[in-house]
Formats: sequence, structure tokens, C-alpha cells
Amino acid sequence: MKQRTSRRPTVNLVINGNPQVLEVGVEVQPWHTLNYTLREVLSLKGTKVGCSHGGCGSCTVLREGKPILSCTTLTIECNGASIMTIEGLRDTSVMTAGGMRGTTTGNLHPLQQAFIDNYAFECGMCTSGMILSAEALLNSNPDPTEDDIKEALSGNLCRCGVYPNIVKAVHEAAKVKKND
Amino acid sequence: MTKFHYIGKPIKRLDGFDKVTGTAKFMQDMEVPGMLTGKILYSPHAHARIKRIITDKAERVPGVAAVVTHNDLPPGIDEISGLEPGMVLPPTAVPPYLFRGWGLQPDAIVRCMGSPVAAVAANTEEAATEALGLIEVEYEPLPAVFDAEEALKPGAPQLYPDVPGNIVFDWKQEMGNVENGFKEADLVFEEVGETQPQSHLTPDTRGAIAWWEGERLVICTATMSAYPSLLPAMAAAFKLPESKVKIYGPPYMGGSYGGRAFNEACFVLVAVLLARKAGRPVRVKLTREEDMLALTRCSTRLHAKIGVKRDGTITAVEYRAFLNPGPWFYPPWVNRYFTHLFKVIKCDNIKARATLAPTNIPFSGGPFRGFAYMEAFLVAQPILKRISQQLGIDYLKLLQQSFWRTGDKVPNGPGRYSVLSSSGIDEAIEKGRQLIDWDGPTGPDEYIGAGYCLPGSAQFPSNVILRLNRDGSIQLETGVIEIGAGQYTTLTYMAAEAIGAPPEVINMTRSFDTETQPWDGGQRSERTTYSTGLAIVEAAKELRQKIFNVASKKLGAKADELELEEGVVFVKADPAKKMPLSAVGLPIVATGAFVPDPERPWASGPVVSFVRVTVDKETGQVTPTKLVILNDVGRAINPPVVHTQNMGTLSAGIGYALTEEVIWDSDGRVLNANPQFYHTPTILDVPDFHSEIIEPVDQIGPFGAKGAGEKVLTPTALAISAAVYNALKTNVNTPITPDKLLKALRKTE
Amino acid sequence: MKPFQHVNASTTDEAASLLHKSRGKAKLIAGGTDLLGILTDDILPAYPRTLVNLKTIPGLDSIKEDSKGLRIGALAKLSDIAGHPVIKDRYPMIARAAGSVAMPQVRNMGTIGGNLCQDNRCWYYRYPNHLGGRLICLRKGGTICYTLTRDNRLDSIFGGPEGCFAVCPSDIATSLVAMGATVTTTRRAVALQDFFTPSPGTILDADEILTEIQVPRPREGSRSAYLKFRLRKSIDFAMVNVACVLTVEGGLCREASIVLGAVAPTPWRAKGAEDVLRGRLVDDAAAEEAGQIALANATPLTMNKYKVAIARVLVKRAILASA
Ligand SMILES: Cc1cc2nc3c(=O)[nH]c(=O)nc-3n(C[C@@H](O)[C@@H](O)[C@H](O)COP(=O)(O)OP(=O)(O)OC[C@H]3O[C@@H](n4cnc5c(N)ncnc54)[C@H](O)[C@@H]3O)c2cc1C
Ligand code: FES
Ligand code: FES
Repeated sequence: MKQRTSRRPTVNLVINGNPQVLEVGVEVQPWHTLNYTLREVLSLKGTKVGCSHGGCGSCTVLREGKPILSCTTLTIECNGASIMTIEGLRDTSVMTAGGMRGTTTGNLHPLQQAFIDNYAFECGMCTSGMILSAEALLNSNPDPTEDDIKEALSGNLCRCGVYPNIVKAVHEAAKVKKND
Repeated sequence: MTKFHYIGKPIKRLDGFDKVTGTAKFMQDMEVPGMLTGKILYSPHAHARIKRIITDKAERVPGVAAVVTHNDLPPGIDEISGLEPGMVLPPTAVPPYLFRGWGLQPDAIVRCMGSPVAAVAANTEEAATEALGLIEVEYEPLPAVFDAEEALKPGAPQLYPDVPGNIVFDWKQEMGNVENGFKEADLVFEEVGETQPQSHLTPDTRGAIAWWEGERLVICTATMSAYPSLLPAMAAAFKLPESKVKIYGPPYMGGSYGGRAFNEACFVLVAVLLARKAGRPVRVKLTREEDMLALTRCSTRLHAKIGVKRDGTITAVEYRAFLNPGPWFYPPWVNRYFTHLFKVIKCDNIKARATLAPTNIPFSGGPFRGFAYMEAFLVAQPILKRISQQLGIDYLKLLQQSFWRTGDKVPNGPGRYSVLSSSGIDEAIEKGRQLIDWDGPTGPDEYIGAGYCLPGSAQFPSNVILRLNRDGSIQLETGVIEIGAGQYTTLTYMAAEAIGAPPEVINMTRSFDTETQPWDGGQRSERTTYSTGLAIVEAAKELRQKIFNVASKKLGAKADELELEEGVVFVKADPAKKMPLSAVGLPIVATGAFVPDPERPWASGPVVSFVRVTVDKETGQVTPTKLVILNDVGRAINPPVVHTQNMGTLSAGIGYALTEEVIWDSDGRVLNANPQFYHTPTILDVPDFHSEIIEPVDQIGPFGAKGAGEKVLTPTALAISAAVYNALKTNVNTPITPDKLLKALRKTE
Repeated sequence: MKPFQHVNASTTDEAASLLHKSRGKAKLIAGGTDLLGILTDDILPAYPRTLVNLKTIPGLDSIKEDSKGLRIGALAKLSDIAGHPVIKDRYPMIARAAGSVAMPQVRNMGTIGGNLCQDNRCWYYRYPNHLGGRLICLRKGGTICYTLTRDNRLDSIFGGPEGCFAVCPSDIATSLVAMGATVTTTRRAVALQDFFTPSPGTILDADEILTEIQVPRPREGSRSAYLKFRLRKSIDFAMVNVACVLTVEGGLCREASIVLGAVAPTPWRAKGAEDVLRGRLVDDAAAEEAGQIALANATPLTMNKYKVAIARVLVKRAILASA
């Protein structure tokens, strides 16, 4: 553990369930975005950056369970917040090897599995944000209609354009989640 | 028909786990210990001479390690040509100079707004940004030109002293006799149309990390053409043998769509120069806005003239094209464009002339999900709409007359022809007609359209290496990077099929590395499945032979009496005599190559789109409600992935038809370099869609496969534009935005 | 982004005094969805030294209804407004307008105060500094409005009283003005209609803070419609939006309130159209005529005539939808 002797202010975050204390002026500067902190300071690179202008959704994370854009959020304003990134979705307590079969990953979240099963990605750059927006939807609406799904994902651009498969994947994940 | 063990059925993608868990590494995730941040200063003028550039203050900013300008360029850089093996250009064309246009220029002339004039490397982004603000540049503005046709006029501003008249490429070709053809015609139709530049908007932006290890240069970047283009460019720039330049990529590419295919050199050079001066690794990562300026689809204008008889027979076709690539020009692109022009409408008498003229628009014409088909088809094909309307002939019938079919000798490059190896076009049209209910009723304000395109893969060589490990597992080494189209999965399964070993024991190397992986022509022009696939088939043959040679002793049979299936070597006549691959016991290496041969018949699959749209004639809004894609892919190695590609490319087609355009002002300034104002479709903008795979028998491609993905964009945009024609009875240039549609409506009413 | 300091305010008084003391060097931040884009692109000649965070002020995000009507704290989030049961039930147009802003993530971050105070989206004004230098247009103290001689497809069709032809981009402003909303600031209470100015956008002084928005209870029997026209069905700002509130009794229109957005530097009230509806049977012909009248005085620029046509149709459709 790092000794924290200075009296600098800190930003306290809970990221994927793990508390993080970041010193202002050292690990966090006032102008740092949450996207920068996650990716460059905490090395959580699963959160992507596409435009840095709030226009694409690839940087989506959940704050208190709601999707927000990490590129237009200041880290310093997240003190006390609970943040979920794509890294927090998989249950790593029962790690199994991804391995050559690529799908033998029993610990994946139902959305992650459904995205694989429904070919709901191509390049994969929008996938983290899509899955998190979908996760927030399923938590508030376990039985979404196609329109609900599209509305919930309407702030996540997929330039590869695999939208129809993404809708299918979210539907399927909703079913799996309900039966759990 | 051969039975396949692994291919032709749905396969879960091998990159799935990495992508859904966020562990997939893209260029934006790549790091090198000790790397600095590089930032670029851009020109405020579309055309200007840099008279003075003072960097002292910038260099003194704490944390700044290097500042580079055009003075740091290696000599002779603007003479380096990017002509690749197998590319044929007309003799009069200017070579494709790779370092010209966007980027630092040795003659200190900026040729578009947003072209780099200097760059800084510093240990923080803040320091680099501060330093950029302290660089003083004195410019002498020069007159600028933004339109290709204007650039060709006498007295127009000249972009390059060695390109007189701004003519980079000017080529004419005639098949048959067009003059006679027009004489036979009852009617002659003429039309002028334009295609707009489209931003690739790749989800990951351009980035490169470069460093020097003595006289060895190392570059990490996500490109589609490391071997054919970037490697020779960098080697030539720094007078190094190619063996001393290592270029490798991240495991995954965050989208390319053609945007990372050719003009990577100008941009990567900035990182390389900074690294050389700083003596440390430097990462340059473009922001979204910067990235949007670096490359787009080319802007074109086409004058078309078509002669027809009353029964719809087309007797003559004549084209005159002006192509505006911005300051970065790439003649091989025009070459393809030129070829495609001949394919749009089949006719005995076709004449075309295409001229490429550089201008000061702020980006560079390059490929976009297709090497120039869109630009050729999108303007030439809609003229058939007018013919069909005026002569009262069913549009589909007319379209069908203009298809090239199996066995046809199709023009393929200036003065060259290729024989089409197979074509599923008639099946595609028939199925599509039913699926969209072509002759059925339409709702109020609903219109139906169809579009077709015959792509032509540019062909580049590929090499692969197969290595059998002692435990019976296999390494597949290629120079291929996964760009999202499922390359890792497709090639792994092709290797499994060709070798006769389960895909589970095969590992394909992630990404390219020019130091260790074999040469590959790049993930361009839908060529990977085809070319790399053929190289795999050849390597597999060699590997099998070598395995049989070893196994023949162990199994007591001649090598040619053996077979390998599902990882088991056995005697054909007596399958009980067998051994697993692990029993071979020796590491074995085999290689395979694909070398393009222009004489070989040509495997190219046509694709057809059908669409239903509603047109709100009061607001000018067009909404697609149903789309059907029929794609001749020869054989679908992994059908769901082909459907996914169809679906994905379709969305960019909708964007191109309706909302996407790069807009610049009279100073040459891009106004909408931002995804808020560059409107690529959201999930709410993509309609119900149906995708069909057409698989005619083809003897040319690996397992009969042809290219699949990118060609869907063009017919989709065409189908939408044809449907809108039905609403307006006139053609509207894309994107068909409300302003244009309402204007067209006012004119026709 | 270039460096700045950051202060969490705990009361509006504290925030106001921080602004005051900074003499123009401090800037308020609410959801940040607009402001951070401006800072990233460094579009303004003056870069703030300090950001004053309003989100730490307790209670500023409340949504309440009393006998007079609705009271929305300036820091209420757009998604909370769009999903609020009382608003959905009794002020549905406001919920619709809030729900039409941008995309879900922005609505989870953006506030109503920030929405009303947001800067305009003119692409000359917003041209990023790092792509060859920001443009010093009229609004930034320069001498010309670039829209007059260049691409002006998105700009005002009702002139530019202060010489700037950028439009007010807010979706919510349109609906709130149509509902007759008032606002309270740290300094005054005004009708929302009077809150907006062509340039700089609002009447707020440099050290003034918007604190609350009040919406009177809709009249008994009134109905409303909000229509937003944009290129894509999500993310995009309005090309034109229209809010319409009608009170129809016995088939005849008693009261009408029609406001257009994204067509002028401030929300544009269609007085003529309101007048022509009053006392009339609301049918196709009346709606059509109201649309014509609403746009009769439009003075489109070289490239935005189409916005006139769209606005006319939207007015007609909004009237029919609320009849
Ligand atoms: C991709 C994208 C799409 C968008 N689309 C739309 C759209 O369709 N429609 C639309 O209306 N908007 C749109 N917006 C703008 C969006 O930023 C606003 O709608 C949002 O509500 C702003 O709120 P905020 O709290 O984030 O404001 P901030 O960014 O925090 O503030 C905006 C401005 O207002 C000032 N300010 C904030 N609160 C106060 C206050 N209480 N008193 C005084 N001044 C204050 C700030 O100093 C700043 O100058 C879009 C934005 C993005 C990024
Ligand atoms: S990176 Fe945040 S929205 Fe694009
Ligand atoms: S998979 Fe590439 S952007 Fe969605």
C-alpha cells in the first residue's frame, strides 16, 4: 500500500466494486476526464475513446448504474461515485481459459455471451459501450421490447453497423438473465 | 460436391472473447515504456508557402523533447513512389508519390487547411499542446482551387511544379465504336452527377508509436498495408534496407473500411521524425477531428451519355470523369475507377475518359469499402432510371441487361480484360424481386429501388507459413490483421479445412509484423479471403506432403497412399492404420504463396440491394423501411460472418445515400469534422433487413470463395437513390438530404 | 484539455461570489456536456482559470409540483425530467422535449439549466483551435458572421438582430417557452422568453446563476405537441423543432401557444399563427394557414430555404397533433 501522508485532496471512487483513492495533483488533475483516468492512470483500457466530444458513445461507462460518457466527465467530479466498466462485467472469481475454442468461457456475463453468440460485433470498438448501455437497460427493464433496446442503445454508434445483431443479442441476454 | 469438415457452417468468432470482455487491444491501447506524446500543428491556410517558422520558444517549454518541421525531412522524400507490385498505370500517369499532400512537405508548401506544419514531442500532452501554441509560423498565402474541373482550366492555381496543368492521370479508352453506337440509338440520355467525400470515421483513430534502435526503425501502427506500402516507403525515406524497418500492428484494428489502406506514410512519418530527434519512442494519436481530415472517399464528378434503342437496347456509352483527390493523389485508385466505369453498364461500345486533378480540399481521395466502385456506379447507374421511365421499361429488366455474366470478357484496367469466372447475378435478382415484393403494392409515400454492383478486387500477393509443433498443434503465420471482418476466424478455419486438422489446434498469429511474419498484400479490396486463402491452401498442400513423408515410414505405406483428416493421418485403403498428428514427432515448416496473375480468370461476385423507403415530400426526409441484400460470395466460409458484413456495410450505404458528407467552406475548412455533425447512422436509423448469400460454383477462389464485405455499400446507396428517383422522377446527388430533396421537388412540380 | 482549477460550490451564493471574484476568469459547470466540448476544442479566446461545480449544491436538482405548477431546479438532469411521472402525466411536452435531447448518456449527465444556458452550435463559432486556429467571429468580438458568406444551411431563417445568425440549439427552451415558463436566477425572476438574447445567448451577468424553472399548470383541457426534426433519429440537434399548446373547447380553439426552435438566435414565438387559430375550428385548413403565417416573415439565407418548408410543415403537424 502506498503511504498517503500528504494532505492533498483525494478523489474516492469505487470502480467495479474496488475502492480507488486518487490524489488530486498527483494521479488526477482537475482537467482529467474519467476516460483518461480509467485508461491512462488505472490502465482499464476496455473503456474506449472514439471522439472525446460526447458524440459516439464508445467511452460509455455506468455511474451509479446509469450510462454516462466518460470522455465528457471530469474525474474530480466523480468523488464518491461507483463506476462500472466493461472489466467489471465478467465474473473473474471463476476464471476459466478463453482458449482456442474462443467460446468456452463460462464466466461471461449473459450479455457478453449473447454478443458472441449473435455475432454482435465486427471490429469490436463499440462493444464495451454497447454492452454497458444494454446492461443498464436490462437492470431497469428486464423484459425490453425491440424499441426499448434501440432507444437505450441509440447513443452508441457502431460504424461497422452490426446493429440488427446487437438487438438480437440484447433480446437473448434478457431471456437468459430472466431465467437465471 | 466436396464435403467440408469445418467451413461453410456457422462458426463462433475467435476474437469474440477479447472483444466482449474489453481485453482486445487496439492501436489506442498500445504503449511502449518511456514513450512521449506527439502533437501536430496544422495549417490555417488551404494553400500557402511557409516563409518562416520559429520553434525556439516551443523547444524551451519544460518537458518538450523535440520539435520537427519540414526542415527535418529526409531529402528526396517527395520523389518516393508507392507503386506496388502488380499495379499497372498508364504510361502518362504521375507516380503515386506517397509523401505528398497532407503532411510535412519538403518544399515548405501547405496544400490544404489542416495539413501538418510542425510537430512536438513532450512528456505530457499538456506540455506538447502548450509548445504547439508557441510555434510561430509566417505564411505567404497562395491562391487555392477546390474543384477538379476548375483545377484543369488554364490559369488555375498549380499544386505541384512537376505536375503541369494539375494533370496527374488522364486516360481514354474505347471499346467497340461509340460513334457508330450513338448513330444506332433512337434516344440519347445525358446526365451529370457527383459523389461526395465520405469519412471512414473508423472507431479508432490513426495512431503510431515509433522509435529508433540505432539504425533500426521500429513502428507500431494499425495499417492495412504494412508490407506493400508503408514498409517500402519508410525504408526509402530513411535509406534503410526493408529488413531494418520493423512495422507491427496491435492485435486488432478498430475499423478500417479502406481508410487505413494506402496513405499512411505521411502520418506515420511525423512520429518517426519526432522519435529520431527526441531519441525516444513517440506516440502520435490523432484526435477524431484530425483523423477526419487525413483521408476520405474521393470526390468525383461524372458526365455520362447513353444511347438507347426504343426496346431498351443500349448502343453506346460515353463517360467523362473528373476526380478530386485533394492534394494527396493516388493514381492506382483512378485506375480502378476507370475500370469500374466500364463495368457499370454492359455494352459493346463504351468510351471513357477520366482525369485526376489534385486540389486544395482538405483531405485525400482514397478507397472506402470498395476501391472506387461507389464513385463509378453511383453516378453512372442512375441514368438507367431515366431511361426506364421514359421508355416505360421495367427498371429491373434494364438493369439485368447491363450485367456482365459468367465468361464475359470484362475490361480490367487500361487496355486489359479479364474473364469473369462465375456470376450469381440472375439468381440474386430473382430472389430479391420476390423478397422485396417488387411487383407488389406500395404504401402511401413508399417507393422501391434496386441497385447493383460488380466489384473488382485489386490483386496483391500473399504469403503464409504453417508450422507443425511437436504436440501436433499448428501455427498459422500470416501478415494479416483482424480488421473486424472475421479474418482470424475465416483463415484459421480455411487452414483447418485445407490441412485436415481441427481448428482448435491451429493458432493464427495476431496481427502483422514485417520482421517476423510473411509478406501480405493487406486487408484491402476484399482480397484476404481470396488471396491469403489461396496461399494457405498451397502451404497446406506442402505441409501435408511433408507430414505424409514422415508418416509413411511409421505407417508402412507410401506417402501418396496417406490421407489426413480431423488431425489423424491414415492409410486410405486401410483407415485402421492411423496415427495422430502429435505422433509425427517432428517440427515441420511449410510455406505457400499467392501471386496474382492477370491472365487468370477473375473471381468477382456481384451484389444486389433492394430497398423500400418512405419519402416525406413535405419535409424532404427519406426513411428506409426494408432492405434486402443478395451477395454472391462464391462460397461463404462462415455464413453468419458474411451476413454480419452485409449488414454492417449496408449501414454505411444508408449513411452515404442519406446523411453523410464532409462539408467544407470557401476557404477549404472542414466544418463538420465531428461525429455530432457528421451523421453516421445510429441504431434507430437502420431498418429491417434481410441478407441472402448467393453461392454459384466457382473454380477459382479457395474452396470457391470470393470477396464478401465491402461491395454491399454501393448497391445499397444505389437502391436508395433509385427509390428516391421513383418518388421525384429526377436524380438527386447523394447525400439526399432534405434541402436537396425539397429543391428537386420544387423543380419537378 | 488545457489546465484549469476546479472548485466545488456548496451554495449558490458561494458560487456567485466565486464568479464575481474571478472577474470573468471562472466558469460554471453543471453536467459539462456542452462546456467540456468547448474547452476541449479551445474555441474561445479566453480560457477559464477555474471551473465552479454546481452539482455539489444540495437541492438544486429537485423537481416539485405545487398548486401553481411545476418547479424544476436548474441542476435537474434531463433523464430525470423525461422520466418523471408527474411531468410525463401533466406536462408531457416537457418530458418529450427533454427525452429528445441528444442521446441517453447525455441525458443522464446534462442538466436543464445547462441546456438553457448552452452555447450555440454554429460550426464557425465551434471550429476547433487545434485544426489551424479558431475563428474570431462576430460573437467572439470579431467583425464578421461567417454564415453570411459561407455554408449557412443550419443557421437562422429569421435574421440576426445582433449580426450573428447562429440559432438557439436548445430543445427544451422551445417547449418551456410555449408553456409560459418563468425562471429564477440569483439576481432576478423573468419570463423564460425574455431570458434569451440573440448574443451572447442569455441575459445572465457574468456572476449570475440560473437556479430554478417554473412552469405554470397547463389550462384545463389544453393539449400539447412537441416535434423535432433532425437528420438522424438520435444524437442530432434539431434542424427545426416546434412546440404547440392548444386549448380547444367545443371544437374551437380558445388559446394557442406556438414556439419554434433552431430557426432564430432565440426561441421564436409564432404570434401570427396563434392569432389565426384563436376562435377557429382546428382543422387541416386552419393548421395549414397557421403554418403559412408562422413562416411568412422568414428571411432565409442562401442555403437554408428548406428550413422554412420544414418549419411550416412542423407547425401544421404540431397543431393537428394537439387539437
Ligand atoms: C452529442 C451531443 C448532442 C446534443 N444534442 C442536443 C440536442 O439534441 N438538444 C439540446 O437541446 N441539446 C443538445 N446537446 C447539448 C447538451 O449539452 C445540453 O442539452 C445539456 O443539457 C447541457 O447541460 P449541461 O448540464 O451538461 O451543461 P454544461 O455543459 O455544464 O453547461 C453549459 C453552459 O451553461 C452554463 N451553465 C450551466 N448551468 C448553469 C446555471 N445553472 N446557471 C448559469 N449558467 C449555467 C455553463 O457555464 C456552460 O456555459 C447535445 C450535446 C452533445 C454533446
Ligand atoms: S469518446 Fe466519448 S462519446 Fe465519443
Ligand atoms: S463493431 Fe466496429 S464499431 Fe461496432
